[in-house]
Amino acid sequence: MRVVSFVNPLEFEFEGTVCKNAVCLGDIDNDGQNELVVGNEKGTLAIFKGEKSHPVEVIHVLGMLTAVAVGDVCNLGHNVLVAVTGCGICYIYDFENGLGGDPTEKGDLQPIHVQHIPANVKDIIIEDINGDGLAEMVVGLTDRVVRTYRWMNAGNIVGGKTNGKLVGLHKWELVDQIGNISSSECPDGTPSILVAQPGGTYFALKPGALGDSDQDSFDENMSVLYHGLASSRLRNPQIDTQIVGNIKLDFYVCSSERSSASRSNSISGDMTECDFPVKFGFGDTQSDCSSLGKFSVNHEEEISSRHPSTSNEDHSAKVVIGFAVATLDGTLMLVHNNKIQWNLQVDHQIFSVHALDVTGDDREEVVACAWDGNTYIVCQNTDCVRFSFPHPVSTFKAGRYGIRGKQVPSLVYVTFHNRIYLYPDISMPHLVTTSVTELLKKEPRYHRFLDKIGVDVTDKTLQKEINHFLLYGRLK
Amino acid sequence: MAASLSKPSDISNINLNEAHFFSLPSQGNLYTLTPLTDAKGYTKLLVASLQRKIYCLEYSNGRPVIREVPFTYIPGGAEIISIDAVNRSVIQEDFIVGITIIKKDDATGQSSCFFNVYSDWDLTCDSALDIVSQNCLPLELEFIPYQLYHTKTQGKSGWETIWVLSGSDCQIHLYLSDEESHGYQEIDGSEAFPEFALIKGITLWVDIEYSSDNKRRVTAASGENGRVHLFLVNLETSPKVDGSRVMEWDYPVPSVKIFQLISHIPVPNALQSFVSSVPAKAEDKRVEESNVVVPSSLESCFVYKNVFDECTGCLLDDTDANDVVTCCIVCDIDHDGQNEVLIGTYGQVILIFKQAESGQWDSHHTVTVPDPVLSMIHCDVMGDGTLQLIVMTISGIHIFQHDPWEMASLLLNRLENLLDPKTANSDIEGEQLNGREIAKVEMEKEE
Repeated sequence: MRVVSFVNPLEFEFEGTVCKNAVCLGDIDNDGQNELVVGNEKGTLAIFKGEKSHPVEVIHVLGMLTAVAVGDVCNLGHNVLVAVTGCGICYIYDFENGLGGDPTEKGDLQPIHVQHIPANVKDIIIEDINGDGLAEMVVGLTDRVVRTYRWMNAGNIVGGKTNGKLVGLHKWELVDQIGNISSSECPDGTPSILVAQPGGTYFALKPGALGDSDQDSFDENMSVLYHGLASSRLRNPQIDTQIVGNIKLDFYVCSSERSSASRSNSISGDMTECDFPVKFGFGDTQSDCSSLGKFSVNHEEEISSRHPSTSNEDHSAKVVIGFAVATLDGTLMLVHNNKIQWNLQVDHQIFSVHALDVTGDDREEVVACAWDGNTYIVCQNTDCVRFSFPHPVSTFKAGRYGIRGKQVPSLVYVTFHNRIYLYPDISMPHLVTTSVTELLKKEPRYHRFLDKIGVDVTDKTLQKEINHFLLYGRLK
Repeated sequence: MAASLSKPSDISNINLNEAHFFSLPSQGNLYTLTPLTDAKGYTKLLVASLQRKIYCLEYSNGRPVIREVPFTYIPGGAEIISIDAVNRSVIQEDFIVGITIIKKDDATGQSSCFFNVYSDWDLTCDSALDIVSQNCLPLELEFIPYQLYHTKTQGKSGWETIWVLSGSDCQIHLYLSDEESHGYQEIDGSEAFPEFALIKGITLWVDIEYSSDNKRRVTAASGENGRVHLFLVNLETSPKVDGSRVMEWDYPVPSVKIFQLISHIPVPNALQSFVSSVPAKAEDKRVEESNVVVPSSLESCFVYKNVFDECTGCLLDDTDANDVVTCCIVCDIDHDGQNEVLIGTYGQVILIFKQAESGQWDSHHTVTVPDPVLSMIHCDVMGDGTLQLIVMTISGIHIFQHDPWEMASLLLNRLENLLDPKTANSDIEGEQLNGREIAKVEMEKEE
């Protein structure tokens, strides 16, 4: 496995114990740049922005913060910050006046809304889970319950601030402890909530479209599906499990040449509808760059083909969505169409899993972190890169962070010694390394040149000598 | 990734990516990383960690492999100070590996030092590293060893490999193999290396460069007392010191490097007819044009041009701003035919300096690593003809690779220019080439 090291982490000072989901990367001030939000068990909420080592905003709330999320939960057209404490107080903050606040203003920023919801919230996501175009809030509780809430607007009060409350929509009581919750798109394009269950299993909850008030059709639309996955093969059926959905695995590309390439690369011979092209990414990159002489041109072509949404207005069913499941005993699985595409066993306890585009090709990689700091970045064709963070990790997030006007892929490690380390811009061009010899082997021009100077194609030692001379020798 | 964020990447065409990282169980030091090239030209790295373990790092089938090499005669509790390795043969694998260790006696509290030479005398078979590691010849030392270095010397039967070991007794010791006793013994160096007698103080680093005709050599030695000795030795009859220069600093000088601005690489036979032969004049002046880079540990580093002539010095900016300077290498890291100076620091950065047209050495690029740098090598461990930057930090070995896609396209373009320049000129892609290359193409057009 390739091992890399990342350098120049941003170091943030933040005291206290941070719950696993009380850290979040999101654009709370709506400037297009993500900030880092962290809450501790004493009720301190800190917001870090850019390279500043001190929080730009600190808010104190009552109770232990267990989960924070950023999203447009109030459907205002911009993001707000939702922070939930262990005893079920849900605070909503709106940073429409920007971060840092007015220095003359005394005390903390006041929430735009505070509401009691059932206690023991451990995870929270803000997503549109029923396809109505409006965001809902989904909470996972430690007492095996998943609830969804929707913001009901009660009209504007004086000062232009929104007024309303969160209204419960659904409640599911599951059989086992919830690992975490994530949202994912089903193959038919409808949203669903994935709930991780012990032993590498999960529930897919489909709230369905919220139609009229007819109770029967409402129930019909809802569905709960249990997926055992590889539970029979797993070592420990009670092991804590994490899940991450909506991983952009690949794009369907309109050009016939491209799709034939991915078809030929497919491992599973039978091409059923929506079959998963297992081998792509790196393999495609190579086949695309058949002519290295026109390398840069090809690169652009490739990038444009990787952005089908820009070249083609038709967005429907262009993105292949998968999700990843990780267990604490070190199994990492990528699932697509309810089939395990690959699984990776490591000797470290994976407690957190995220999706992040590290290579900059718009396909997302799976990023998994273990308690001891070992972090695995795995792409769709199982090429894997490891990074060893030098300290034990209390909680981990992978996402995009705004630094110097750019959104860069970043890793956030919250440690046990009052420090948060954020590695900005961990992007790397490729997950696998290759040698020049391997690249030139596929190059017809190179073979022609070798013929011309009378060098045998199989003579590696001579080729090495020639390569070396061309790069370092005196050509003139 | 590992490239520094503080420099915009577009100013340089050094696209270094970290290909791999090996962590070491215990840290090494300035003297514990050595390359070992076999007869086929494939390079592996020998890395010694303080606590007795020696690893061999190589690429097999394109994948990095690290394994521990079980060198014998390294007793428990011993610590490795320095390691050096060389292949004596050009046609087969005839490795000799030298390791110096220090061992503290628990009972008496006194420490003893050893110089272990590992080699295989049975030349009938290719001696792999594993066999070599089992054939040890220990030599007890009366002093604490520092850098272990090897060079060649004119012996009774032609050129021989000789070990050069600097010690805490302010001397530089020489060890030569003895064919009769099949052993190694210390020899008196006053005849073969008269310059060593002139060095005062503990030597931290020795660098010896022979001229291509083997008639002269330049010896550089940097000391703990801040002195850098440079000698021009005439070898035409018996070795005689022709010129010398001493520079003094206030702080120890951890390394010294003699270099030429342009490295000479022999033209491969297959390309002979396409490359115009290098003018003989440049060849002759090779040693006289010796440049020396002197990294002072706590002061600014300097590059001296023509040390035995005008000896003009050039300060390397900001080299005192990144903690202690630990090592330096000279290599062509941007593939323009001209060497750059790389300075490794304890402050977790590698500073790359390039000579500008004016002769000034300017900061060109910075590579940041997560730990303090101890040692660097620029060599080809991947075996594809490109060189990788190997950096040993206190936590392990980083392998930085030039972007292979870029390298492959650069290589193809140069090959095309060389083989059929006429067609190459028409579809040259300017942005893939550096300035030097473009200038060359323009010259060809003028012709």
